[in-house]
Amino acid sequence: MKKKIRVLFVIILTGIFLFPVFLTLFRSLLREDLAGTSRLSIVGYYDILVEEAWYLKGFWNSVCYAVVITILNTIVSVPAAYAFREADFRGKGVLYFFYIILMMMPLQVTMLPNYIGLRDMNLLDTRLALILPGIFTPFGVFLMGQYMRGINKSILEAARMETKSIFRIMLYIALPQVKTCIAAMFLFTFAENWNLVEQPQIFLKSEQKQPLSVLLAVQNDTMGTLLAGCVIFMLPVVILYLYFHESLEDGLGSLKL
Amino acid sequence: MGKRKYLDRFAVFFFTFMLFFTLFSPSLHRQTTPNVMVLRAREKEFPVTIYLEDGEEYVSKKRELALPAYVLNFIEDFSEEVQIANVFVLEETEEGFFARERQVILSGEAEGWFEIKSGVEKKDKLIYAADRELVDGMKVNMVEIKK
Repeated sequence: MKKKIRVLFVIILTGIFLFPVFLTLFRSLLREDLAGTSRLSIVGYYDILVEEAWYLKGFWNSVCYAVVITILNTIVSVPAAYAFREADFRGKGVLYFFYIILMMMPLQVTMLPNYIGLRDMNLLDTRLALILPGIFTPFGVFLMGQYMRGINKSILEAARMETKSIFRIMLYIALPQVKTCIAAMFLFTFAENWNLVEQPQIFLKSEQKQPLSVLLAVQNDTMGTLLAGCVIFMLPVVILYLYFHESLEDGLGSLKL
Repeated sequence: MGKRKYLDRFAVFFFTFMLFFTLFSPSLHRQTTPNVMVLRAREKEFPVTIYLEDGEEYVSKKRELALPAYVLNFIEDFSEEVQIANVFVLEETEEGFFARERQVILSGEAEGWFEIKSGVEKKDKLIYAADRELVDGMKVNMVEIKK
């Protein structure tokens, strides 16, 4: 009986979460004619891909930002987390504490210092204005740091007998053990940067450089056309999730918080 | 493993699809945007009846802005004098030409031309022919202005 209630609860919850997605999909396939009657049509998809030049420009901008930030963030986060895990230096605990504090801070708090920094470096209204702050977000370091707690220390010590190169130990011993967490981090970082809204609106002025997440919100078009754009906009994250969902479950499941 | 194979194919298809439209949407757009022909409202002579004090009728003529019947899509007929119709007006913006649906109020008719009471001005370009069904706000290519 308890199990049935739990299943029912999960089904209802799933329905609540999926309802807006299905509504978007359904409305994207509706088109109103001159008489005001709605009928099923893919004209919205045709319009967004052929008639609206801004859409594809925004799509590739989003791909560029999300892919570059995700790859560079992973390259930075993994060694940083390994250093927190393995290196012994004064103030390590305090520094890690500040990392967590920084992660907890709302985006709006770090936005102003970022803006001032970018303005002083003359990087406002350039693509780097989005990429640079994105690379050094503390979330990846925190996630990897927590996951690396699970690495067997004796294996690392055995590796140290073979080589003195920390980089080689990290690359050949530590990394294969945290592959699932890297996949989870990759997915989280990609999804976060795919949906950037506040940062581009503040750091970028020209429409040419805006990602799709911003352009979809500001364009004035028919509902069916915009919703068709939203459906296509969802697909890259869905594809990435389907690739990494097993790693995501493994990675988050074995986190030692 | 099978699921992964389909996912790979779908991902490749999706990004190829997006790349295809990125490269070819301008030419597709040119080929599929409806071509329209436009004209401007003209001044035409309409008969006007003047009733003199002694009860005599005097028929004169007045020049008013008018539209031909083939531009108009009549939706309502209030009386013989006043009629309402929809027209598509060509809107020129930096992003190109757009067809905008507008309502016009018409009065008398002479030789297939209707006198405009309101809704259209002399400078407006009105779409009188299109090779696809037009919808309000649709992007169009202007191919000819009727002299």
